[in-house]
Amino acid sequence: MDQPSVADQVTQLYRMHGGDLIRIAAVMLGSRSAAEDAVQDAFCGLFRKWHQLADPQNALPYVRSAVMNRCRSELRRQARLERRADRHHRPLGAESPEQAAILGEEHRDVLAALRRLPDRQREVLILRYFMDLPEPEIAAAMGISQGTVKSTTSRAIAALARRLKER
Amino acid sequence: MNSADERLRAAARDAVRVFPPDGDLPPLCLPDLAGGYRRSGVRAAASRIGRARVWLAPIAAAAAVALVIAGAVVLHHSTTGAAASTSLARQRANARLAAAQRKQRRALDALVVAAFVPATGPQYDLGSKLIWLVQAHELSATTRCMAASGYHISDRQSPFSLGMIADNTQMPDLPRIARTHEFVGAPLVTTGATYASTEQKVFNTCQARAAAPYRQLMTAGRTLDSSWWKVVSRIQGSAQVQAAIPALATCAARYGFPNNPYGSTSGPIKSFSDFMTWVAGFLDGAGSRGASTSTLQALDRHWSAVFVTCARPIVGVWQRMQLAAQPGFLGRHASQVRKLDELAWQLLGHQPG
Repeated sequence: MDQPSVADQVTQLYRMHGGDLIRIAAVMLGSRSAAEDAVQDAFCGLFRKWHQLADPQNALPYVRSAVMNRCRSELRRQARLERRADRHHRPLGAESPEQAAILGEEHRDVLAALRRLPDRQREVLILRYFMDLPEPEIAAAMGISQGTVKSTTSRAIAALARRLKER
Repeated sequence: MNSADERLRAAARDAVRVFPPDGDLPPLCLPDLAGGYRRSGVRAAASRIGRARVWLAPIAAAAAVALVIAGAVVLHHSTTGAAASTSLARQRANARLAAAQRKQRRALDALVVAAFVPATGPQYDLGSKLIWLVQAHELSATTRCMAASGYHISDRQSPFSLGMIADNTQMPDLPRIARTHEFVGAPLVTTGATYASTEQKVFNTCQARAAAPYRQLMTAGRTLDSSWWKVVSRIQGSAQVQAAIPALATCAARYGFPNNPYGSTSGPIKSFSDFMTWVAGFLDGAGSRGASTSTLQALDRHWSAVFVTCARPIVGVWQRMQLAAQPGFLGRHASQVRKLDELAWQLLGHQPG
């Protein structure tokens, strides 16, 4: 029997996990369309680098990590544009209608508080709560140790609780 | 009140509706690998001229802004002064006006490219000044509109400050950091002016009206910026740039890495962003612990020098690649760039800055 082509394997992985990845990217970016772009780019990157993977089993951690990196880049780009926006009169980080639609009314303050956390704290919470990943997989997706995942999670929860109380 | 943990779990359950398990996935478009690698020869050829241009950029940057502002003033004086002159003098004045216009136009075109397709830190900093010019125009129009309704607000634009805008993660301006000894790691927190509710309503209307003429320029600019940033991200994640990471990590180790002011080490330096975060950590850490201004200045001076020393090789690699990619990108997006040039000229080119 013929081996499936790289394109087939990447497409299969996309069918199985694309939805979950779009979901966490949407929570990170506050936009479904930006999330779809980030996931699309990540799978294209996987397709290009497939031959460099030592083991195809590593494809999922690779693509998860790629989605996180792309979300980080996009958030940096957004922050750059916001910093360039009129600083006197336009509120920074104003919520667009699309951002508002990511979660229901009762959860928007959680999302807003989550967005104000430092990058690493936000990502660790999103991977743990929104993707239900165990610590070793969070560590692999973020390129940090499991110990750092533990300590970052506990600091992130404390910071989130403080921010939710402030509101 | 639920705990943060419970509220996160509830939000995560709700997030399923963003993309339901039975939702339709958008089609996956995989790239044509042959096409993706075809441009490397062009980049290699172009990078030969890139090296010299990296160091010319700061000079060009300063010159371009000065030309846009000074050019606008020259135009203003030429227009008003020429009317009373003799025919010959008028011809000379017209020639001077046309030359000044051409010069100003070229400077404005350079600002547009730097604002939306910057290839280096100095270009990025220069481009920020276009945004600042737009803001100054908007503020001036808002002030006039408020005055017509009987309200007075200051039309004094805050001075241009790179501290608000600099991007040390992807577009660090190393010559500026070396010159000023300011690292500018984190964005400053700004507060907006507040007004009584009636005045606020007038202000909102005036501000929206003032921003309207510039909306097309900014929206078109952001579309181009977004496409260019994908090229930049691809370059900065490329094998050539990644090959410079070990040297960056070695340099950081010379200055004490993994010593971390937050008390926990996050692992080896695997990206430029890791390095930037480590350096910024010293300043952020000291700032959040209430260090004195003089201590912060001393830290800034020390860590800005470390940042420049360690970053120079890797930033040099990606800047050369970005400079090599920039002309091709501008060529492929020529109609968008032309449209931006036209809009910028219509909005900013005909009046004193």
